[in-house]
Amino acid sequence: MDEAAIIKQAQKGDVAAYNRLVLQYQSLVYNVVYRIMGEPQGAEDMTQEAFISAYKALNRFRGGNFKAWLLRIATNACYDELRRYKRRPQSSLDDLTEDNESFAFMRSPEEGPEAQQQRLEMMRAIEQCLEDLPEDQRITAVLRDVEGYDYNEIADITSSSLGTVKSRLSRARSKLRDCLQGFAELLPAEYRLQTNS
Amino acid sequence: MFDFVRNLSKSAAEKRQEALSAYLDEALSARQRQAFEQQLADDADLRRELEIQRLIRQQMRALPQRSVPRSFTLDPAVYGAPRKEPLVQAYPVLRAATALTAVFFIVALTFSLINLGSFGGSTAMAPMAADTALQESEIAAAPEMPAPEAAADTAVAESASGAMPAAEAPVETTRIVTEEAAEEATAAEMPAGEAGLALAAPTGTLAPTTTPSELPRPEATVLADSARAATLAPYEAESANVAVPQATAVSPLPTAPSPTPPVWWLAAASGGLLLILLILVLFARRRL
Repeated sequence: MDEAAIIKQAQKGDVAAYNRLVLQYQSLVYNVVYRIMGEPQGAEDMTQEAFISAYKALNRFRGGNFKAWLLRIATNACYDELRRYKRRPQSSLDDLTEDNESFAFMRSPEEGPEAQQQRLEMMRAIEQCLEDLPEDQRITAVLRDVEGYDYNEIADITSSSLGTVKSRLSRARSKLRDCLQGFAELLPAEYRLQTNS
Repeated sequence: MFDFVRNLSKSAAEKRQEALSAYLDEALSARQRQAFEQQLADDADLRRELEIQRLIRQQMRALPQRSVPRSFTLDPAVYGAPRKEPLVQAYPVLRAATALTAVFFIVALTFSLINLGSFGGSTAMAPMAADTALQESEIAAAPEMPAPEAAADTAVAESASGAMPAAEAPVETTRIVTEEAAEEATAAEMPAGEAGLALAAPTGTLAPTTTPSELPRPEATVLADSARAATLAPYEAESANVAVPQATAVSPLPTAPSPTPPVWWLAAASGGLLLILLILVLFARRRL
């Protein structure tokens, strides 16, 4: 059964049909939300909230890109949560350990322990720098550079114009670059020198 | 539209950074890309910056996907059917209302500004008119008298004084009388601006610099008649001296402009409404 038919069934109150959509998108939504919230517990709560809100509002969905619609609800839920408690994303550095199951696939037999360690530290640095970005820039950077969405999809998800998306992304990247200069030793040697900003 | 406005406020460095970011994503148009590649060829720092940005993006793409900690499926026993869609969607209705209000606001504002252009001269003269009015005559003190009759008397008085030098002395007397009237009017707490504007027209009938074309039409007509009657001045001047304060006092002032044209209120009201609607639209949009 195609997605549109499943959505129609869910709109009639078929929770089982909706759950099929949840299973299809939960990994995607959770990962985006995790990057925005910056900590696993908050990400879990917001993901659940996003799926509940989406179900309640399912009759407002009038076709089109369901994934973008779902992600818009999820990012709005994150915005609200972050503003409600005026909290910054919590650091997830403790979770980024080599023992974490999420990163098990990263261990490559060809890669020596030193290289693995360097790669892990680079990821920590990127996560740290992402968390330091303002919310709107962080969401845009996550959607583009981590999740790989194109500009139009990001504009749709964040309910903003293409110009705004370009501008936010440019600022986010500039700030990320400045932030990562603080972790210069993690960058390959040829990129360690400061550049003109 | 707003992107265009925002671009105007960007610095050259910001524009360069934005172009670099868009180039990295292959989001530049053919012409923009060509121009940027030319810059790249000429600028070693820019090439280096591009390489760093490319590396960072590569590292970000390599961030691992996290596994989902649990299933987020909903319990059918807890959740019933989704909420019914309301018949009238708030967002499109609000958006249409906002657009209409915005158009109305622009029209009202334009009319206000145009009105201000033609109205500005009168309002600018208001303090002067008020001053002159207070010196020469005032409304409230004089006994009631029908307007046309009063205007006629005023006209007769003026024509009499213009035609015969001997009539100047009675005009001075009139001023003394009207100053007293002005004091009484001030005591009656009439708004100064209103009083000034209201009295601008009758004062004009007395002021030597005022041309007949500036006068309200009924008075101007009477003035023409009175010019003909000026030959009878020796006999009528005396009665005119008595009539002047009454005439200026009860003139209906048909052409005196209002100090705040109604269109300003419309512009202000529609502006306020527009603001409220914009807030509601933003709120409704968030709920979509």
